[in-house]
Amino acid sequence: MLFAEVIIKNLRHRTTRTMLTVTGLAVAVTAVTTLWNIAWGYADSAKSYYSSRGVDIVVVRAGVSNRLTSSLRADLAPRLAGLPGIVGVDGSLTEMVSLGEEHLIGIPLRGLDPDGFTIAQLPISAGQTLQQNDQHVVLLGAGIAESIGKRAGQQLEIEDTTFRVAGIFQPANPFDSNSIVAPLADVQQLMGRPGIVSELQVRAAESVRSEQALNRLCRAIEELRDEQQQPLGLQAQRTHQFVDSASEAKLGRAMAWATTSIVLSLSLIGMLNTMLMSVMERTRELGILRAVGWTRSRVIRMVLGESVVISLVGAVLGSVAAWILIEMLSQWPRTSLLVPQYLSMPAVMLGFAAAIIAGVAGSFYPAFHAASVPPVESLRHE
Amino acid sequence: MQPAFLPSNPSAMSSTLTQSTPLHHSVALEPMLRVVNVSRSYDGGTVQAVCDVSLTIHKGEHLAIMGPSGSGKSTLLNLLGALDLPTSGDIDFEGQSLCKRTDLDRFRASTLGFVFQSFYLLPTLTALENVQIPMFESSLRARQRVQKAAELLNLVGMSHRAGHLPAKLSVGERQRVAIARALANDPKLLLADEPTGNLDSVSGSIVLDLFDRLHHDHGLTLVVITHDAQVAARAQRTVWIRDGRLQ
Repeated sequence: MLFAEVIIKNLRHRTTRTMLTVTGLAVAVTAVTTLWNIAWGYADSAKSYYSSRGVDIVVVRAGVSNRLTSSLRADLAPRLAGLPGIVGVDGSLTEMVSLGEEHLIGIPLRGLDPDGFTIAQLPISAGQTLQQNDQHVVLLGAGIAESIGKRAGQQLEIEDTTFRVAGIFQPANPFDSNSIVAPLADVQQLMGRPGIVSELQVRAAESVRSEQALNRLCRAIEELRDEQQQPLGLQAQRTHQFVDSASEAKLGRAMAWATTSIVLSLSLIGMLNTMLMSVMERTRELGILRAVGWTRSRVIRMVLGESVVISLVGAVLGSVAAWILIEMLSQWPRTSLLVPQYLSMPAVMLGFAAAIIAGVAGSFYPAFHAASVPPVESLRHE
Repeated sequence: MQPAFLPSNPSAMSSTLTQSTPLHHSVALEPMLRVVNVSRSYDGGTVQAVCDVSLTIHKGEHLAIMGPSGSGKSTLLNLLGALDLPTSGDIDFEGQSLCKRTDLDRFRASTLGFVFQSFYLLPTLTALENVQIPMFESSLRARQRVQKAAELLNLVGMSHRAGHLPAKLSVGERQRVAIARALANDPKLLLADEPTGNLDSVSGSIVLDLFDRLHHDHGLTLVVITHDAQVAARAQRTVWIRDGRLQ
């Protein structure tokens, strides 16, 4: 018999309590894994969005991390384009819109220049892309098109304005797949923000794609001044920095951290309660083990081992549940925008870590308590 | 006649016990455990369980400690077995003071075997697994533990019940498994607290025969706590304890 078998048999002997504790931990792991998957998935999707468009630098109003609240004059684009090392500048105005008939809210509507370099990167899978003089036409991401059942050539109501679906694009990430693209002028008109963009997307020349060169380019953009030699007040960041500092990403991470902290605390208390009850019930058994020569450290290892097994099983079941939940949420129209279709390994590892930390930390006191009771007292215990 | 539960091949028995110097009723007067003016009190001295006891147990001896309920005999056994420490006085084992040792767990594992009135088998483990429990503190590997536990169960005539949980065993069988467990690490001293107290006469007789065999054939030093005169009669020497004092 191996030492591990003693641990397993102890847990199997208290099947109901073991399963309840495992279930509690599995729920905790599911919550942690899912939330972190969403938080990181959102950031990954946003980064993928920019990289797939060939965007190297994002420029917004200084001091604003939320691109939706950033307002820049669209005519700044030529100033940026004049800087050495920049081969393209596209203005983009993003708003979150609702598709009332479909009961969908928070769908990104991106206004892009039909002649810009970013729209040219859209992989059109049906219909055609936007043309320079198009008005009240949109391109639908494949995800949102499927959710609302629209095809190229059909019409769509956005904020009480009718648009024609010119085409469907099939991007790789859900962030993009659940968005709508319209001519920049249409979005500016729809939102009452003429001549305004929320960000300028900059493409650098191949020769300045190194990290240092892009950082220099960012500083050059931020140092641009107007006719009165006043700073233009621009903030230029490389795309991954921009995404990581965006308020949506920060909010997602903050929520994930908060949830992780709460879940970790609850799991720790749950494990503490379970293991303390378990060792209290087994006081005499533990006394027998000590009487026949088991050392304190072996008793501690046994109790901690039991909690590790519970934690690992909870982590495995929780990860499987998180995977199922993410699959479901990524298919559900109301949540598919935010939930990536994959389960990221870092999120799984974080869920495992949370379970192990809660399990082991919650078992320390019961383990040391179990080992500290003198065997002669344990044997007298009824 | 050899009891049916013991193996017919004596070499099978000797392989399980390193204490194989046969004494054949002659006690070598080499002290093993020396108890010197030992007292044990509780609740700040208001309860005096054992009072100024001095006792020497010799190697290969079969000693019975008799006394009525509440006389302090179990407390004395706990002190002899390093499960408890005296309030005053000293106990030395082969010349080494137990009170000064910091590794009493390991001392118990390597030197002592315990047999309790209520058997104290672990309910989640089979007979074979229960016997292996003390061996976790030895250097034996898993396979060796299984092999030795099987030999010990064979020694006590419980091979056929090796895979059974304690709940599926009769009380006599449980005590025989407990004896096999007590022998797991080849103890120098076997301490038994009312070993037949919960057994019927037939099972009790089997257990006492087994003790006799271990003592006579393997020279195992044996201390038995009992209030049963028939059990004490099997011992070479009997000491009486009353109100915590040896008579």
